[in-house]
Amino acid sequence: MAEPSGERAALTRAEAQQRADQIGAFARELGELEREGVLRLPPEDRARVGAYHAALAGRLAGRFDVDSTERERRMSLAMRIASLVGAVAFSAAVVMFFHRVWGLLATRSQLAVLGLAPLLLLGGVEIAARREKTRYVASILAITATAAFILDVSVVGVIFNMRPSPVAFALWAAFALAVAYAYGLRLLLAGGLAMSLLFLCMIAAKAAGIELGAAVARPEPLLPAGAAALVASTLAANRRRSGFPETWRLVGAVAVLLPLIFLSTWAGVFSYLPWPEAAVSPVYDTAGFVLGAGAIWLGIRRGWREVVQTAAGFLVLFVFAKCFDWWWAWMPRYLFFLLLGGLAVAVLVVLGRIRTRQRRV
Amino acid sequence: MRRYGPWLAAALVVLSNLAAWRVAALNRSGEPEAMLTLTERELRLPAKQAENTALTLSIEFGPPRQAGADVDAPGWFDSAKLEAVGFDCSRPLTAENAEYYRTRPPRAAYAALEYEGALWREQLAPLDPLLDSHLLPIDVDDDPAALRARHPDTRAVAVMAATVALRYVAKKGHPPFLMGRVTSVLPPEIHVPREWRGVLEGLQSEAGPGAWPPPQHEPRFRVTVSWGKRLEPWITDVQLLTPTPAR
Repeated sequence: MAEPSGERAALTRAEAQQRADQIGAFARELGELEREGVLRLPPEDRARVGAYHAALAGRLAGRFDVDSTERERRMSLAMRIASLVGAVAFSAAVVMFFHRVWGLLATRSQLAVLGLAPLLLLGGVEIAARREKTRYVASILAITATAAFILDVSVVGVIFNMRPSPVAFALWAAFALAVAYAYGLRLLLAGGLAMSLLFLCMIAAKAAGIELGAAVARPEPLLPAGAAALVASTLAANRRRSGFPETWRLVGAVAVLLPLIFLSTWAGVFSYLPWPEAAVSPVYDTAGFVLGAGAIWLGIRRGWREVVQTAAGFLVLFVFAKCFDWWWAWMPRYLFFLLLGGLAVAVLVVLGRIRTRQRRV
Repeated sequence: MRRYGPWLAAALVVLSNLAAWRVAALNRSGEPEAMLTLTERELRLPAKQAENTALTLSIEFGPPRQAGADVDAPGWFDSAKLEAVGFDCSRPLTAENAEYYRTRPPRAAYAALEYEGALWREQLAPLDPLLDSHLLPIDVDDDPAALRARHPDTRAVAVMAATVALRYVAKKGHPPFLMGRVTSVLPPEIHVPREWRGVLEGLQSEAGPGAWPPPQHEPRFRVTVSWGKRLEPWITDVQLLTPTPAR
């Protein structure tokens, strides 16, 4: 029997979950309408719709392991939290176990253990992914494999007394992204993107002759990289994977907006630009307000909820940081806090309007 | 991607390990760039750690903290050397520019560190030769070859990758000046392979890590360290020292 068209469209787990939610909401609303006498479906139609929905929900649950009830949804959330805790705990166990035993091993054995650990864990990810649709276990093993690879590169550097290099971040990012795309793991995607951004900061610091440890304190490379991440969220390879566009957009929005708080407030400390702070700060002040407002506009227009929320949070922080920067030194304290209170009310009004606008979208 | 992703990740693991071995072998091939015999003063032994069985010696170099805290002149690391490693020192030394100079980030450079050289004999030997490191930075540059050409003694001077910082010094009654400081060398620690570990293990204290000041005793071991083509060090010998008999 051919699949119903609605099911064919459910390409990702998120879309399948959305369809399952729709079925539940439809059944509840139909019950309400019938109880209030607004609508009464003939019994045969009701039975046909019910049978269709039951079969569809069964197939979606079988294929995508979607949550059909609120109780199942809460259980899924608990499982996600448990898998995150498990991943962190397993990663810590791998790192600490190696630290506990590596002094007892000869150099060759150390190198063999370090190289084999991420490979074995990768094998575990593949086996878990084949056996389990929800990929909670695969996610735990994938994060642990990434931690093992980070340990591998770091400790090999220590064993051979190597100097710190940005290349390590590129390797970790590439590993995390390869595994994230292979198994559709959002947390690993976010980690891989964060390491890629750090790599870019370090490359820029190296080119400028600045010590690598100070690279994060020069966040200007994040601005174009974040914008590129926002564009990359629309690529087909990301649209095909559940939650990937949202993750790319969230990382991109944070990368573009967060540095502006530091760059506008302490341009002399955080900026690569060679011009005086008095000239650079106003540029970043303007960029903070324009890009913050622009991101909210873009987010509402495109329906990018995570971008709207990030930009709104940023604008609140940015406004308060700028108030402190501009007024704290010369304004009486009572007036400063009075102004902040007034601004908080203004922010509430603006955010309320944004929320209403979002609802309409 | 589903099909190739795991293979790509596995290839990354294998290739990065092979590359690390190759780079390490390249560093250690041929004649060492420098070979110094240092003692416990220059290679600090950490306290025992229950959760970490690895052993690394941290490279300590002078001048000691207390000696560097109060200075009247920049010494050899002056504005010219600061500019040579990339700091912009063109702004006038005025109070308005003090903040600019104080917020310059540390830079990556190369430093020449000399063991018991002329600078140490002149400045620090008379103070406390027993406890403080006898390894002193004597020059910096952004080109390690130029640094080696100026300091050709490979048995006394090691060229190392280093982090250097700029310091704006303004003391009452004196004109302000700029001076540089070597804040760390890279790598800051040297790993002790298992074959040498047994020699040093018995000397480790039970005290907590990072204890300061260090234990007040004369050096108990001597370590020969070589630096290779990539200026990365490795240990080639470890020997225990016989304690000086009490008078």
